[in-house]
Amino acid sequence: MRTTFDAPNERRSPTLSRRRVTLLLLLIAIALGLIILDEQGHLDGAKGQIQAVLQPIEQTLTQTRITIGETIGSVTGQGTMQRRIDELEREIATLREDNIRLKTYQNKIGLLEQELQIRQTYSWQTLSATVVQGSTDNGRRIIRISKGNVDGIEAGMAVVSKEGGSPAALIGVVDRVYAQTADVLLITDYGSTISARTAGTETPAEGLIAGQWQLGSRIKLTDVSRDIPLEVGQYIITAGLSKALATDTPIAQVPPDVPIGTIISVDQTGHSQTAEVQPFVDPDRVRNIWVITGQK
Amino acid sequence: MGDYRPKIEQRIARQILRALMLLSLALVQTALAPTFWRFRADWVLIAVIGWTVLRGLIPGVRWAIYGGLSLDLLGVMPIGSHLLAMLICVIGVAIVVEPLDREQPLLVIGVTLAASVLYGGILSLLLFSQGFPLPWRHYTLVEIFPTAIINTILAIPTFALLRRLYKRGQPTVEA
Repeated sequence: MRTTFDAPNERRSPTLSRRRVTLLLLLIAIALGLIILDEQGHLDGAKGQIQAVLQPIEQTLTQTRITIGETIGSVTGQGTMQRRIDELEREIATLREDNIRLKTYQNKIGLLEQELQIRQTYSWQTLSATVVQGSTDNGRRIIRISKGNVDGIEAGMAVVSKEGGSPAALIGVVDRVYAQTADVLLITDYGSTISARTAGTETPAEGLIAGQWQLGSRIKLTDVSRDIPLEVGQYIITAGLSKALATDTPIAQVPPDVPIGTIISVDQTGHSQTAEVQPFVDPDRVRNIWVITGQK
Repeated sequence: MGDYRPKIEQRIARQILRALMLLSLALVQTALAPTFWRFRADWVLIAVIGWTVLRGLIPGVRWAIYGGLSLDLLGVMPIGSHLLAMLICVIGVAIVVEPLDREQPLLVIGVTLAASVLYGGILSLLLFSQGFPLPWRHYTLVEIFPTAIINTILAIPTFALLRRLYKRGQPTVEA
């Protein structure tokens, strides 16, 4: 009796007959056609609708994954110590937030106009959303969120989040918007570039925060003039110049003074300085985010 | 002619079931278990390659279509990207394994490793063609190779499972 499992070895027909080659070429042509159509935006509507249908399942699975990760972490990571660490992290985060705010105030004290500008710092108009998918599609650092076109989300809007006790900090920029979802390009992605500056120095050092995930680290402050030395421990905030600088990040409209992270090492070789930056928020672990839709 | 109707319906039902199964696997890949530690795992690719080794070109192509389109709909790359990459991998694997003994565990390990590198390479080329400033050397070392190794490790139990399912669920030879 012939069993099913004997079948592969019994196959006699050539793998690539003329008919099969034609079929495969046709399929490849269809795939290429779909890529071109999607790049031109012709499939956004259909893709958005399908994603809207799948969104609840994806969201449930993603939230489940995060919950499982947290549960495993609390079981294996000594619950009491973890709670204490969380408390301390929250305390440190509050102090950091105050510190950033105070340092920023310190630079601009005495000038009413600048003081007013500082008062507007953190007075963002935000829209909360949940992470639907923490995609690692081909190594890109992009997350999908549960708000889209119908909620007023636009490409280029800044996205912030809080992790544990961290300050509300930048995690990415809206890259692509669908009807009910949107893709956020994380600041750790190699394709992400955001204008940034140091907080708390009399003359801020300005540069670009570039994603480094695909290079094996997280984010780096680059293109900083050597005139103003960078120091370990300095806070990095957004400069709000991404749009003007026309960086690679599409239509970046990131407002100024959004916390990003802390300098952990400085490299002063070459004509400019660079610094490794530890982000305040690990974009891979966030489950809730806020999109900055404007400023009050 | 009437004799064929139930069989065609059965075939259609089976294909729908497989499409749903691969969509579920794509959901697992994108939402539930996208990474192991830092590295991603291409669950759908592993299944598609395993099925191609077991069944040959045409069944592999069917799975590549279901799995590739599912990932395209769920992922962030343009629709057609995963489909294209998977089709090319399946064609390559089918040609390579045709004259070989498909029962060899080393065969699955070898083709999964090679197909994963090819898959990552094709998707990277597509990214590059879209203007993504790809750091090729680092990207290969940090992303493509580690993912290929993870995929290869996962391919061994996945292939065993597929083989068992195939033996149990397929009393007759059919794609």
